[in-house]
Amino acid sequence: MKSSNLQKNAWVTGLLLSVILQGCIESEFNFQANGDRDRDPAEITPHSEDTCTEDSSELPDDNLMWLSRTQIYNTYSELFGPSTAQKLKNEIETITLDLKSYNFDHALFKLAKEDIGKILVMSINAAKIIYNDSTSRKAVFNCSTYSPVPANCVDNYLNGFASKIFRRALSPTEKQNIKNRFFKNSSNINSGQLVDVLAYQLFHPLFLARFELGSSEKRQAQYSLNSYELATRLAFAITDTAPDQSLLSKAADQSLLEASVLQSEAERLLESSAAKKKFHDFAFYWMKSDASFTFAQLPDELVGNTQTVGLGEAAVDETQKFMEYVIWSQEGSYKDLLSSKVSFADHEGLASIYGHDPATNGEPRTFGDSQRMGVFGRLPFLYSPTSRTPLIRRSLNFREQVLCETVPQPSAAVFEERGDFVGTDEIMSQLSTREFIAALTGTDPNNSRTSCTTCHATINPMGNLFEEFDSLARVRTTELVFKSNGDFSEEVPTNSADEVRIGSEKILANGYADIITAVTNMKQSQRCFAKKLSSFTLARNFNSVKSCWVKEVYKTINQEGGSIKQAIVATIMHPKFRLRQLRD
Amino acid sequence: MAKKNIEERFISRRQFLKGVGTCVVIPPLLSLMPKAMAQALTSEKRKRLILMGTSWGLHKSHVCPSSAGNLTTVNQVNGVSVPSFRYAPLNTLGTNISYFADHFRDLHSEMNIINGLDQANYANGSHAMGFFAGSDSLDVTDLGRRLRSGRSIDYAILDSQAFKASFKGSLPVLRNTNYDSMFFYDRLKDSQGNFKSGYENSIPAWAYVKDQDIFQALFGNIPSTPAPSDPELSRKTLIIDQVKDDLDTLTAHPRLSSLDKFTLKEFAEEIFQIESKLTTTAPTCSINPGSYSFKLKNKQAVSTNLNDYWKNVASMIHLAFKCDLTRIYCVNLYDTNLHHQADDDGSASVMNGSSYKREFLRVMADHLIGPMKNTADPFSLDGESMLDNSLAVFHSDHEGRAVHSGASVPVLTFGKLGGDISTGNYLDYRNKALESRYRPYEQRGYPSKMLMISILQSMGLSKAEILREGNGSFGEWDAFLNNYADLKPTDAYSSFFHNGAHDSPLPFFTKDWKKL
Repeated sequence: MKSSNLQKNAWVTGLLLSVILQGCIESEFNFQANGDRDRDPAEITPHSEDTCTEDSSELPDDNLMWLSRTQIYNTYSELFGPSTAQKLKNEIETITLDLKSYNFDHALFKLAKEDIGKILVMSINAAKIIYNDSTSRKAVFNCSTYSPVPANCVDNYLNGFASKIFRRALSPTEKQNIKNRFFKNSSNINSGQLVDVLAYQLFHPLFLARFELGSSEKRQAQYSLNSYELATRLAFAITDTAPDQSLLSKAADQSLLEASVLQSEAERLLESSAAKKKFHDFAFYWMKSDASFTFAQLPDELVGNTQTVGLGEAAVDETQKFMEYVIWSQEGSYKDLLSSKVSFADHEGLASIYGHDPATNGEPRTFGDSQRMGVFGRLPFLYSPTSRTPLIRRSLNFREQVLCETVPQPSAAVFEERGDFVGTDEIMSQLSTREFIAALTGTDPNNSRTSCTTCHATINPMGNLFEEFDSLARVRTTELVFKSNGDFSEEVPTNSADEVRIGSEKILANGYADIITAVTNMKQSQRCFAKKLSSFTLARNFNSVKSCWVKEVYKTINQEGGSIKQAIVATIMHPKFRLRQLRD
Repeated sequence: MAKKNIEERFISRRQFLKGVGTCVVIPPLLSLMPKAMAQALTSEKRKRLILMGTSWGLHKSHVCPSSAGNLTTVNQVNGVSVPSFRYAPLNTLGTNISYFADHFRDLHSEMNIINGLDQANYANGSHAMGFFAGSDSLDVTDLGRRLRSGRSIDYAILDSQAFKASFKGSLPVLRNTNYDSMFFYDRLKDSQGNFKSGYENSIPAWAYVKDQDIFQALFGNIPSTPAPSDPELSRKTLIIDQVKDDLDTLTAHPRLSSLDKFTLKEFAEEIFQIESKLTTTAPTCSINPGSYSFKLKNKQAVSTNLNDYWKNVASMIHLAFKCDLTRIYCVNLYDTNLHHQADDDGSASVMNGSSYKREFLRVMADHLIGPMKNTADPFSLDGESMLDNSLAVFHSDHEGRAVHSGASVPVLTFGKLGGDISTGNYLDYRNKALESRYRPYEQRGYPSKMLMISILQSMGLSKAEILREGNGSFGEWDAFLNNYADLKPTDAYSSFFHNGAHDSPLPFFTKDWKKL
C-alpha cells in the first residue's frame, strides 16, 4: 500500500463525505443561520455576542458540596499551617474523593462511606497533633493554662477559632450544645476535652462540606448567599481552600457583600500562592491531561538520546511555570496561553524536546522550532506512552477543549464493523500513523467503512495536524514505525497538512501552528475558553457556551488586553456568583 | 482457668486466650445500651448459612422415607396455582423414616427433608450440574460459577448490595474446601496422616482446609483477652453523638434540596453504623475459656482424627457466628477415588462411600446445628435461637446411585432463616410415587433453582440480583431447562419451562411464598 495513494484517497474520501461530517460533530455553537457559512470564521459569532441563555447549570441546586481530598489538605494547611497538613498528608490521601479527574458533576461527587470512618480517625489524630504542637495549640485555643483549662478559654475558642473551622460564626445554640456535650463541668475542663471538641469540628459536615443556605430559613427558589458563604465560595473559587482571616473579617462585618470589596478581595486572593497553585493546574484540565507519564513502553530506537528520567515531572513543572509566567508575570491573555513560545524547560531531555538549552535560574527560553507554541504544543498534551502518536485523542481533546465540540462515542455497531477489518502486522507496520489510522477507521477508500468514516473523516484531519510531533512531543518529519512485537519496521515520511472543518469553515493547515493561529482568533474558541475557565474556577460544569455567565467572561477575554486574571475576576463578579437556586 | 488445663487442650495459653472463647451475649446488656443501638438489633437479623454439599454419594434411603404416611397433595399456595407437590409433617411419619431423619429426631421441628428437586440438565448429568454446592463444585477454573459446574449461593450473596451493607466484618464467607476436584479433606493426607506435600500450593486464598488455618482466619485478628476496648471509643462515640444531633437540625433546614438531605442522611446512617460497630462487635467477642474445645496442635498441620477435625471446625463456626465474624460457612465433600463406589454400601463403620459423609453430617449436627438450636442469638432481642435465624443445608449433587443423575436430589435443611422457612416437614416436589426413589427421567420434579431462590430471597437479595445471569446468580439456569422442554404446555410441570414459573422461591418451604 503506497502512502501517497492512501493520502490521495483520504482526501477524496474526505471531500465526498463532507456532508456527513457536519452531522457527526456535536457543537455547542449551532450555526443555524445559513449566512454564517459564507462569512469569515473570525467574524462568526456563534450567537450574537449579545445573545445568551439562562443556563440551569449556572445555579445548581446542590447546596451541599463536599470538600475534595485536595481541598481538605489545603484547608488544613490554611487553618493549622503547612507542617500540620503535611503530617496528615498520608491519611488525607487515603480519602477517595478528589477533583483531579476534573469531573465537576456534584451529583456524582459524594463522600464514600468508607471515607467517613477514615475521616473520623483522621480528625482525632489531627486534633491531637494540633494540640500537642505548642504553636498550633496557642493559635487554636490560646488558653492561659492547660492544666486546668480556664472556662473562658472555651468561650474564646467557640467565639474565635471554631468559626474559622466552620467558616462562619457559631450560633448561640450551637455553642451551648457544644458546651453541654463536651464541657459539662465548666470548673473542671481538661486538655482531652479540647481535643474532643476540635476533633468533633474537624469531623463535622459543616467543616467537610460547603453549605449555602443564605441568611434566613425562608424557602425561596432563589436567594442570596450570606457574607460567610460568599467568602467561602470566593476562597474556594480562587484558592481552593478555606477563607483566610482577612476574608472572614470582611464576612463578619458584611462588607464583603459590597461589590467593590468583593472585587478587591478577589484580586487580593489571586495574588496568593494558593491561587497560583490552583490555576497552574488549569492547564492540565484544559489539555485533559492527568499529568502522569510512562516512557517504559517506548522503543529505544524511538527514544534515542532523549533523557526520559524525570521527564514527566519536568514537563508538569515547566507547564506550571509557563502558566504562572503568562497569567501573573505577563498579565497575559488567552491568546498568550495558546501562542506564546516561551519555555521554562530546565530538564535536559525536555529542553532538547523543546529545542533550546536548559533554562537556568528560572529565566525563560524560547521554543527552538517554529511549529511549537502555547499550552497545546507541550509534552503533557502531545505525549503518548507508545510509539504510535495519539492521533485520535489529540484531535478529540483539541476539539472538545478548545472548540467546545464533541464527537459521539462510537456505537456497538461501529465497533462491530471495525472488527471486520484486520490488517496484517506486516502491512500495518509499513504505515505512518496517519495512514494507519486512516486504514483502521475507513477513511482509506480501499477499506472504506461508512459507519466509521462518518465521524473519522472529521476526527482524523485535525489529528493529522499534530503529526509533526512524535510521542515525546519532538518535532519530526519522518516517523519510526514498529511492528506489534516492538521490532523496528521502517522509517516513513510524515505529513501534517490537512483541511479541517470548524463549524462551517474549512481551514487548510500545514500543521499545528496553522490551526493554533486560526483558532486563536476565532470567537468560538474564545467563548469556549471562557466556559472552560469559568467551569474550572467554580468547579462546576457549565452546560453551554451560550450561558450568560460565560458570555460575560468571554467579553473580558475578547476585549483588547483582556487578561486571564481579569477573566477570573469577571467570573466572580457576575451577579449569579452571589446567588443560590433551589429547585425542588 | 488454670494454665495446666489450658495446656491439656494442646494449645498455648496465649493462643487459647486469643481465640477460644465465647461471645458475651448482648441481651443482658440491653439496659445499658443506647436506645438507637437496641433499635438496630431488632431491625436487622443476622442471618447465617451453612452450606454443605457432596458431589456424590448421599444414599437416598438415608435421607428420604421409604414408606409413606399420609402425604397431603398441594396444588395451590397463597391463592396461586402451582404444579402439584406433597408434604407430611415429620412427626406423622412414624419412627422408622430414614437414617438421618431418625438420627436427628431432636431436630425434627427445625428441619426439612426435601425430595424431588431436579437439577438443570439433569439427564446429561455430570457432577454439580446446576445445584448449589455450598461453595464451588467440580470445575473451579472460574470459581465454580460456570453453568456446567453449578451455581454457588455464597457468591450470589457476596455480590448482593444488601448483604454488603449488612455485614461489616472481614470474612463474610468461610469456604472450608480445597479447590480443583474438591478433594475431601481426608484424601489430602498421606499414609502417615499428614497432608501430602505441596498441597498448600493448590489451596487458593479464599479457601481453608486446615482447621488451624480456619482458626487463624476467623480469630487471628481478635485481640488478646481481655479484649481491649478501643482507647478512642468514648471519644469517637462522643463526637458521633453530637454530630448526629447536629445532623437532625441541619437536615431539617428548609433550604436544603432533597438531594442534599439525602446526602446528609447517608452520612448520618454511616456514622450510625460506625457507632454500632464500635459499641457492639468489638466488645462482644471477648474470651471465655472453657466453653469451647478446639484441639489445635500448635504448629502441627491439622487434627489427624477426622471426627476431631470436624468437631473443631463445627465449634469454630459456632463461635464465629456468635461473634458475627462470618455469616456463611461452605463445605463441599468430594472424593475422586471413592465417589463412584460411595453409594449403597450401607456400612457406617467403613470409612468409604457415603458412610464418611454420614459421619460428617452427624458431627455437624451434634457440634454445630444442635448447639445453634440451644444458643440464644446474641443479636436478637426476641429470644430467638441462633438456628432460628440460620439455615443449614446438606445436599447431594446426585440422587444417590452410582450414576450421574441430577434428578430428584435429596436435601436436608435445618433452621428457619429468620422465620422465612417453614420447618418440620417431609417435602416431595416430584410427580411420582413416594416409593419411587430414582429415575426415570420422564417424571420431573421442581427445579432445584427454586430452593436457591428461597434462600437468596430470605438473605435480602433483590429480584434482579437473584435472576442476574453469571457471577453467582441464577439467570442462565433457564438455558438448561431441557429436562422440561419436551413437556406439553398442558402437562402439570410444563409451567417451569413454558411460563418461567421457576423464577420463584420454592412454595410451602418458603413460608410467606409468593412469586418473585
